[in-house]
Amino acid sequence: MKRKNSWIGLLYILPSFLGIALFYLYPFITSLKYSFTKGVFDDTFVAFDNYIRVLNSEAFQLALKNTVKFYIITFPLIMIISLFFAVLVSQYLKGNTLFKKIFVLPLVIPTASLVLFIGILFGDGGILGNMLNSETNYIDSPYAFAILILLFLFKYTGYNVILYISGICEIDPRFYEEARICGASKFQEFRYITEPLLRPTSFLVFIFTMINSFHIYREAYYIGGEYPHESIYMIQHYLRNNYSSLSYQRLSAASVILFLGIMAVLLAIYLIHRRREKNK
Amino acid sequence: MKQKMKIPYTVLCYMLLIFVSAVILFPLIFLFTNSFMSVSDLNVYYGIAEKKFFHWVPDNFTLDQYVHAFLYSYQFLHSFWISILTTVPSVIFQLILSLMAGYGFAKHNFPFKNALFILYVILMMTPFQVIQAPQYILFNDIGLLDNIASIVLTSIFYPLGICIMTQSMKKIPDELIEASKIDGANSVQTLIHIVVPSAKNGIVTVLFLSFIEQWTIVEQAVVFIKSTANMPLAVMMQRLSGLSTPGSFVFALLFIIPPMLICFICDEYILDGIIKADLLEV
Repeated sequence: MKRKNSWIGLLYILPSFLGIALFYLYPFITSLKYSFTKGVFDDTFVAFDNYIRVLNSEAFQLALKNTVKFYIITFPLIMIISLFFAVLVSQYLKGNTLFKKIFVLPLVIPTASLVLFIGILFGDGGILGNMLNSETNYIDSPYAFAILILLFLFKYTGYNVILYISGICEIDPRFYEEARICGASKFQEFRYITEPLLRPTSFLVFIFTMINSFHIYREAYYIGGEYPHESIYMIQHYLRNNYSSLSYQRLSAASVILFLGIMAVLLAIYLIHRRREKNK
Repeated sequence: MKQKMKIPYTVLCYMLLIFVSAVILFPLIFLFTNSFMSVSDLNVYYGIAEKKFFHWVPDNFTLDQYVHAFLYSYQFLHSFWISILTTVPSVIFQLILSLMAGYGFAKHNFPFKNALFILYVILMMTPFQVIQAPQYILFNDIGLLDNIASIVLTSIFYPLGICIMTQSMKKIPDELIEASKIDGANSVQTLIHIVVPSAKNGIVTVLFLSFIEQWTIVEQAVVFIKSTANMPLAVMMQRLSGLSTPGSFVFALLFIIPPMLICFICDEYILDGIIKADLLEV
């Protein structure tokens, strides 16, 4: 339906826009500007100097490596695991809300409250150490990376399962009936009905996981404090540290790189998503 | 034949899900039982040099840690209060803004609408760290540094709620809105009496997500807030608790309670239809 232009709509947007302009847009543009100048109070244009310095810094490379590694490992894992559980629940336990209620819980339990638990599992003299007969504090070792991934999966898989379940509920059951008449196997049903029709949901799950992954600093903060083991030193830590040392130029350049990275991934996913939708 | 094959699958499936549920519930039950452990036992079982294991049932049930948490931990209670003070207004205002902007985006047409919405989505996908320095300078200029208002303001305007609400409101049939206009309701009345009641799923989702987000806020707080007196509990938890620190288990439990309450209140809506729409489709 075509609605006629009305300025009332703009009035509804205005309050949020003013705030967003002041607290998000303006800082963002300032950040962009800083990344090309010599200092906060020195407006000399230095082209890509800041960027080159950031890209050459070892700390940034470490942070970038860890962050990319984190995304490459967690994203496929979390999508596959949550889809698996969603299919399981909706195939065999239709109408069972108890499991869904339990699946929401990890999102609700703050990581701060899990820290004691994690400490006993992986910390100094923890269960893992006892089992492997070693004195290592796994939270402060290269294994911290694995712990961080486990924690991320623990926290956010459940919510994704629920998103997927509500996506599956919307699929017309007649598709499955027809498939069954044609003698399709469970796997074929999944391959040709469930998965393609769930793509919009997958896209949503991806976006949510992405937003949640920005908060990985929180999880890392609880298990490792402000200066965690280098295996979980993420881009967020790099930015945080440059911020504390007041090197706004480097910070801004790194911010812009991070932002462009996210946008590139997002755009790619969006374009793939669009093309598939059109092909349908 | 086929019917018979189905049963073992269901049983397997139940077993797997029960196992996963156990993993999820494990920490909660553990925190609960251990909150009754006496302070001296905490040192015996979870002391720094001790070999640790999950000590499920305390040797003697005491309220030691509760007494510690409620009577001797001024800092914990204070931070808890700060957290409530920052979370409640930020959730309320975010909800109001999302309702308004969502209505504007979903049910009105105006110049640059799509461009504006895409801008919101892009800012939604921008991690906080990207804008922390200019935001810091901004708050410094307007004198809100080390003030809880800084972390409230930044979250109020985080556009996630608006994007969710827009999608949720798009599902409300236009006819419903047209009808109310024909009945003589003005735009604001339509929003309050027609749109808001039909957008319950979106409202609950925004409420739920923004509450959890604000309750566990860390990265903004460690940047904008300096003094311990204004620090929300999410940050203080890391500083206040430790395995053998008296009261820690109670702190952890109490910290879970508010989001848990919200979850129980919103329960049926969260489970039924969070948001099924496509976030980027205007």
